[in-house]
Amino acid sequence: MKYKIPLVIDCDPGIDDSFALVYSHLVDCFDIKAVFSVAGNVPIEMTTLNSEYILSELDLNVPIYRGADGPLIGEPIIAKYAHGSNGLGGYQFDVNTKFHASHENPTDAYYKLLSSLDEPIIIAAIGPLTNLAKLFMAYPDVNQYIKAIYVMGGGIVKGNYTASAEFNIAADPLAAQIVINSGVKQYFVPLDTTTAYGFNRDFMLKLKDSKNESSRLLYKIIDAKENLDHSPRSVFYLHDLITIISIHHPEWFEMIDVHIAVELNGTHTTGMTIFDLRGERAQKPNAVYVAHPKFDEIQAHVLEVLL
Amino acid sequence: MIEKIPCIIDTDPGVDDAFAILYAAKHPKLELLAITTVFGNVGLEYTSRNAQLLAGYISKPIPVGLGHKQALVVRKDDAGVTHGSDGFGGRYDTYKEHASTRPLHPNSVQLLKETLQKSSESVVLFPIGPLTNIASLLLAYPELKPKIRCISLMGGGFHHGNRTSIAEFNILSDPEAARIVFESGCPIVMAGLDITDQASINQTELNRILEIGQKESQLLYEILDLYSSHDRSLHDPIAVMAISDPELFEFVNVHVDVETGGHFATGATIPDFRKKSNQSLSQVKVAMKLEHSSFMDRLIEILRKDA
Repeated sequence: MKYKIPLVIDCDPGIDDSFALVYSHLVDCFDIKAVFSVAGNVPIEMTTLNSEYILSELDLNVPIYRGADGPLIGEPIIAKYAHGSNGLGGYQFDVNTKFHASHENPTDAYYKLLSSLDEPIIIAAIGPLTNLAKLFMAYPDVNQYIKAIYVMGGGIVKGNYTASAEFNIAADPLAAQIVINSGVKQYFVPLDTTTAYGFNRDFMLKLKDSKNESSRLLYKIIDAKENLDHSPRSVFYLHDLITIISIHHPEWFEMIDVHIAVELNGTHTTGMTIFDLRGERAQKPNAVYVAHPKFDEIQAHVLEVLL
Repeated sequence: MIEKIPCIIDTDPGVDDAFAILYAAKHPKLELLAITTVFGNVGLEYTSRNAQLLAGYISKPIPVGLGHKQALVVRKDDAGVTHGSDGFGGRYDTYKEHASTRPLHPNSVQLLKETLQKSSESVVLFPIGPLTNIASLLLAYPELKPKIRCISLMGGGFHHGNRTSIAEFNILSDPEAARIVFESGCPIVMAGLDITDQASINQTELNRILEIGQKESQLLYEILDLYSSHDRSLHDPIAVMAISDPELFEFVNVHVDVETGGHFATGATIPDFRKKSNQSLSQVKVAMKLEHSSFMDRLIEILRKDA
């Protein structure tokens, strides 16, 4: 039997999260062990329901856990401006989902799951890092069960929530810093990488006619938000999807060892990730910067998987 | 029969911690359920073995947990000189044969969780070191907050600091954790420097410790003798006494914030004494006044008892 990479997806669907979930299943090289929701793009009730909905549509029966409802410190921020009123572009779906999230304590559920597996696992963290921070806080020994964390988050010269801060990190800067401090191998996929190129309208229109039902669903979600036919020159940044691809196609990226710190208390820069790119004067690396995507290969590959 | 208040001490022994732990173990109104250790006055390898040493002087078996070895966000290292290189003024080796031989619980946060879950009554937490373990508990297991009767902590100060002009050591050692605890919604009793510096000891009083004649009195005397050349205040027992002997104190209720991102004020505890401040937000009961001779008499009276 084909080896599949064991994977936990920690997410806040979210339009691009939905692409990441559907792709991770269809690409058929990941063994998805569980999905954890987290408050982020929209509140926790919605990210949880959206996770249930996407997995139900995929008929992918893996445990779903309802995660953190807000950041470690301070008030939640949300990104309805980017993901529509319900996180799926405002697309109205049947809320009577087939699979349901467990309301077990997510920190204990995480630890139980990770410590029960045969091998250390990869975690794709494509929302705020609150769940993982709590895991490291409650179980400092959990490192041994984690092979690597792939984080969609941060930016070097780009922000989106503010001029300097990317949303996932801005939504819980302290959690991001705690995850960085954990010592677990981690790959950061910042906005500079995810917005180097965009998926184009033709790409999306092809999904519309896909033989694959869940790919057509992705089209409906993005169409509900963007009204696709009226925006011929649009490009779409699917940050979370790019992050998943970097796990099993590192050859399409440049992997650069780097030191990353998160600004927790800036006047203009709270939630900013500071990549130390000073060359020889840089601090000792604590992460890998996933850089310079080969986008043509990536877009062609995704089409192949989704169509 | 006196109804005993169940309690857990979260600690970084530390000289004044030793007094707090034995005071709590001996007090007829308290039922010490567990000791959880954390980095602080010295590194975790010392605070945990010192806690084991103290547990060895308590007749009832007390579980001791191994906690966080660093702050959520690392800024500074330990207090070094005040408590000696081993946390006990270099005296650990002389007394080590008294240490408890029970195995350490490997995870303080889990020991806190399990102890709260097992207790039929709500429990008082006495954090007398950095608040890293307690913050982790509160964030990962918010459902256990009803099991916490109150958090009576040694930390902070309004009039002055000790580590900086405005920040007290325990709070400055992990300001984010302190902020998480103060914003947790749990009732907080605060023994800050304003009151703990009223619990100073002179040479005559130091001799009274030695004259107690209990099996641990020589140890307490020797470690306090060195400590008192740096710091004359027995800070940590005050957090315990605020619960076991409230009649010794005057309290005020006030809202307290923790500064986590100041240029000069990081780690400061900021009370809101403005007349117009919202009294319903006064989440902290602050011990403000203590009559010195009754403090000393009570300390000696309790330490005379068997543990």
